[in-house]
Amino acid sequence: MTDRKNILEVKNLSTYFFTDNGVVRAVENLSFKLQEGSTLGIVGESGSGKSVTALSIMGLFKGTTGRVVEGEIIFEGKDLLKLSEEERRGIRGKDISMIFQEPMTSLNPVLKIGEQISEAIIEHQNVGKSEAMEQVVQILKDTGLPRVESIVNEYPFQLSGGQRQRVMIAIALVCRPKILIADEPTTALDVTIQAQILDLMRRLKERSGTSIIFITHSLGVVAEMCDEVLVMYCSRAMETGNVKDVFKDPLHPYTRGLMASIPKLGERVEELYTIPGNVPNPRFMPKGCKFAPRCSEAMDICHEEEPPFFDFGGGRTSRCWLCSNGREVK
Amino acid sequence: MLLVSVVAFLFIRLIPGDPVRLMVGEDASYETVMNVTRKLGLDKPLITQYGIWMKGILQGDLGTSFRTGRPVLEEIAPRYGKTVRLALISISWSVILGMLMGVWSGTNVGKWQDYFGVTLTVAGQAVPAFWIGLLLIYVFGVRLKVLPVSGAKNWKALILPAFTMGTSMAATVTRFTRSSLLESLKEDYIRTARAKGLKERVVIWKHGFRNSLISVVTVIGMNFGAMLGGSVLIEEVFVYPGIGSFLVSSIGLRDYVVVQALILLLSAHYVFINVFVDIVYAILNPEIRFE
Amino acid sequence: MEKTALMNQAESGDIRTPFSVFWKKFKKQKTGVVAAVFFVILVFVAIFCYQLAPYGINEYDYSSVMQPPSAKHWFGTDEFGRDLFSRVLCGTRISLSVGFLSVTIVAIVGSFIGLFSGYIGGWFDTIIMSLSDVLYAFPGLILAIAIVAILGPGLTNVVIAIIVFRIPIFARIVRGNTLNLKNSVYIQAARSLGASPARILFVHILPGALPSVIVQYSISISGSIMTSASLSFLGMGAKAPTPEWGLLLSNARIYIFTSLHYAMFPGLAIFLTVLCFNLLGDALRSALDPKLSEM
Repeated sequence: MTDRKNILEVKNLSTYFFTDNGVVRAVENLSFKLQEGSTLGIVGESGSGKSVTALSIMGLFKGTTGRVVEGEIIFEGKDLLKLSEEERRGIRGKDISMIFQEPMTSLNPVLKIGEQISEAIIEHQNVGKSEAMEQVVQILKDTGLPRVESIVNEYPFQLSGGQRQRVMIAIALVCRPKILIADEPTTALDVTIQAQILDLMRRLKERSGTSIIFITHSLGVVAEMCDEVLVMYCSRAMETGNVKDVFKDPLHPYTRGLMASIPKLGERVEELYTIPGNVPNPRFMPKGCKFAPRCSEAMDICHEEEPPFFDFGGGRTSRCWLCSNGREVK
Repeated sequence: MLLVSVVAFLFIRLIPGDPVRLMVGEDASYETVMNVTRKLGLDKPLITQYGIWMKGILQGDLGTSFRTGRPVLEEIAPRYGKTVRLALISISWSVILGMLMGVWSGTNVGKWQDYFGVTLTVAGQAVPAFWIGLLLIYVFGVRLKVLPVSGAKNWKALILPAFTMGTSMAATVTRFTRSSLLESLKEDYIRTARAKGLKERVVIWKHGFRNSLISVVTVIGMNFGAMLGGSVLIEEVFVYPGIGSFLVSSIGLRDYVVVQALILLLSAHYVFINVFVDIVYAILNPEIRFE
Repeated sequence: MEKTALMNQAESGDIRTPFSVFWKKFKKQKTGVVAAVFFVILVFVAIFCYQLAPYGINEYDYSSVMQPPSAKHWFGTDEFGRDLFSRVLCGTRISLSVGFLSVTIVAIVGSFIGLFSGYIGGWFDTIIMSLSDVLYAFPGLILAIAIVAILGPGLTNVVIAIIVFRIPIFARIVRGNTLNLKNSVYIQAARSLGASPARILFVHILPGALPSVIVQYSISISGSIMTSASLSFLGMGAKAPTPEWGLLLSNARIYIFTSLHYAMFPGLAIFLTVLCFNLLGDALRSALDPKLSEM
């Protein structure tokens, strides 16, 4: 299971936003590994820091107040955070690319579709316009879009949401990246389209062997798409592991809560279960374990001291005092 | 436009003072005055006069100047050309300066470049163009004796007036370019562009600026209106023989016919420019094209 | 256990009334504060100009004609030996009077027109709007020139000209606001409670449009000062020996080849005053309407 090489290693990543109203700690001390060829799902509620993690890997903080303040992101033996902007730019879109949540606004409205894809090609590969266009047509066909020849000359507003997302996927995959980061790519789409897009991503991955980081708030999608999973809460990692293992036997109370919240077919209940309480205000974080206030199994130490990671081998970890029988990892 | 012509016509008729007297002199006999009045058709009812005038316009005849007796068209034509020349150069200068400043300012938000740019913009919008014109005349015409400060003898004479007018207008262009650029840089597709690994320069110009162009063009259109008025002042300051100064002098001399024609002309320009801006808008925004 | 933002604010005594919110935002704009201070100075000068001026504004002194700035005459003298400083100072009163008078009238009349036009709608609205469009279609200064041409030169006519061509802007703004508010929920509520149209208009809609009007008011003042100066410069506005800034510049024009000081100071005065009102307008806009604030 863990014999495969790790294509990406994130160690102790902390990213903060320095706003006028104070510092927002979007990601705190996050560590995880992405195995080559596998799909890692990062799951959590809104505001848990999942998207910011992706932005940290890509280095897309220009124009915002966000900055990585600590940590390492090791890709192909190099720490991305220590590279110059120029070097990172060379990696962006070529070795690591990203697709976003809102297909309706993520494409430039005044440029043709073909142009928006070919510019990625021309930037990273030293090819001419016509050869770039050939690749454009090919990748659009691969994403299952109809009438590829005419779409190339059309504008985003002429396409539907699902079609635009396919274009986004095309843009991201056209340079055959080693890692694809997908930030809630189907959240804004209809359920039927969602299924199609997920299907497409699976197929493309099988063909090219790209490693994927799939960010979502839906456990259902994780179950369907991912090999490994990372559960985030309050900017921190709570549990990691193989999807089958985590789903069968969640180690962290938060994960257990999430699982319990999913209504199951055939089961009749009086009330749908939700985790009691609210996500804490970033300005008033509780002392100790961040989940403790809402945790039904919290012990005294949980309110006092933040638990470290407890490693159970094979990528299985849990940040919970209840798991202290595992090997402690800071 | 029709309404505009009616209004222009009526305006002029309302000017007190008898142009005929101006022409023939204060102490001409009553009979002479009546003769001339009849000859010029000024004794007919207003509506008829309007009809005659409009008919004339459609035939390309803008009437005959009271003052010089020559057809108005002849009087206006050379001056019109001069003003157009001045206008084109001023606008081009304002657009170039304005857009560059706007982008420079907008891409360095919060840093000294931005504060500098915004300060200049704010100051530029408050500065009376004719004052700057006078100061420039002093600097370049008197102290340095480098550039001509009046007349339109050669292309050099255009430099100072065009610079004055253009720089004045550039202030609004800068302001709108900057804010429009900042708006579009906040959009999602800019993030996508960066995620593709494109050079920052490309992101700003091809993606950000292109999208902000639409608003900027609108402003430039607005500037035309201001410029029509401004040209009057600039032409006065620099004694530039264009239609601006012609308008002023004609009003002073109660030359109805010329004034009518000029007001009509200037207003027509305004309308046409708005139409032009709409066309450019459609070119820049593909969505509109497809409607 | 968890404190909400509201609780925190309440605890720190930070209760927010509309005015205190406005004042806090206004204070944040440093330029706005500077402009406000300058505004107060301007008004002060305008009111007390005769007392503040070291010389009379029509004090001829043929022995010191066209003098550059000196200790005796801070801004120098003009072609009649009159002290420029005094003249420029008193020009303040003229410019501010023209500005405030014209814009106040425009604001009141324009707002009423916009209010009624927007509320009544129908053919009344259409007629008013097309009329104002025609007026708006003329480039501002040209229109002002035309109006002054008809009525003859003089400051009163300048004021009238400004009023005529500024009305469409205010009418339009207020009409826009009226249209927006007309169909909003709380107006409908007022209507269903039996409030008379007059009451609705003045008590409910007008205050809603007020912020935009105030902002436009400040901006229009600088515009009208500019217009007045421009017209005077062209010889169509103030008549000699009124020390209107534009007129001073026009006189200075003749002497530009020998002396700079004559042209420098009146123009500087125009610039600073217009700048002051522009900045004031910007600060007001940021403080009153968060949607419109730029920087």
